[in-house]
Amino acid sequence: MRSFEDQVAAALEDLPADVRTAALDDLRAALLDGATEAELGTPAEYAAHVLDAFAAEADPADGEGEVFGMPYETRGPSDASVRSRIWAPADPKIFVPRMFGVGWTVNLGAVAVRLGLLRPDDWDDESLNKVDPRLLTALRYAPLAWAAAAVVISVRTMRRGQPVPTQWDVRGRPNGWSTPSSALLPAAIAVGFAAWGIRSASGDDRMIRPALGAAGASLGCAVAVLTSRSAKHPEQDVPVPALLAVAGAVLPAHVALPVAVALRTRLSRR
Amino acid sequence: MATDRVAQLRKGVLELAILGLLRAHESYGGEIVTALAASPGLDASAGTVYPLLSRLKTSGLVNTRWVESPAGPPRKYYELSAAGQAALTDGTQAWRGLVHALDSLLEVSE
Repeated sequence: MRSFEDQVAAALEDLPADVRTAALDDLRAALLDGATEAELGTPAEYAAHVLDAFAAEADPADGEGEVFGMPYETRGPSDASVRSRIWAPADPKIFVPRMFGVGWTVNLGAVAVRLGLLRPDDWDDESLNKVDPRLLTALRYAPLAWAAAAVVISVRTMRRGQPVPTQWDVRGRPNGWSTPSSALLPAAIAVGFAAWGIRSASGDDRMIRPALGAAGASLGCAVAVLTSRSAKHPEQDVPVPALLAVAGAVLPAHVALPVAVALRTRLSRR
Repeated sequence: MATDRVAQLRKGVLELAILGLLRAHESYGGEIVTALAASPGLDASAGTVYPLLSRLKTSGLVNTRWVESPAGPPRKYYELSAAGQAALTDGTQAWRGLVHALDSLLEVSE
């Protein structure tokens, strides 16, 4: 027999992740306040009240939809509700509409739940408040470290005064070249992502925004390393998959750290 | 249907009533349900009030925090945000204007 909460959660599956999380958190508050089923209604009735309260949000937002069975999104990660898809433990779907364009992206929250690291209801909109603000500040400015590294590497590459590679074949060997100043392009990308990632945010976005900023800046940094190495040793293949893997690991690492701290220090609610 | 119209009207009014209740001090959900029940015509079940609180939270009109209770489980407290204060001021003005206009209209049509 599933709990009242689980039944409501199942009925709210189509709501956006942030709305669903908020609604389930308030249902927990209601149950802890001692509200009985007679006061809340059946799970189906309670879910209907939630859907009614969020009638506008239940409809797909402008910019979101499906084409040939594939989800598309035109708002991009500059929209906080779009960003929130990458960390939504209350949403059981691992593959969620990607943040921009056609296709899917990974909901790290659902992955963590599937791996048994946390339960869907372990995370709510207050969870991040249990993390030391100094850690959140450090994470917020972490994208700057990637950007600084990218700038140092790119400037050094440019100062060598040699042509720099701008294209690589599948083996990781350069096959397109440009002027030395092109070496600054990856640094510019990293700085752009870092500047975006450190802007102020609220709620879970305090974790999500800098994580995306750091992921973008680290990708810029990886391309700067790639450019530098190929410019120096054009005859050698560069380890493109390894560099991309490092950049790809930055996002989950950036999310995993504050989540682990929050869960370790959470209030004992149950 | 008249009942649907009344239900929709009540939902909007209840949101304003909750913002009004939170003007003086922060409250937890059970307290809000009890306070509304004390006002004739505004009483609403917990099943109606908590989803409205979720909506106010995601709209940024209230801030929330969990507070450990010395006796019993922790409680989630709701308080007005700056945006909530502004919404309450706007809502109050709109409500007074609406009541005045509707009163005049209904008097004429009586």
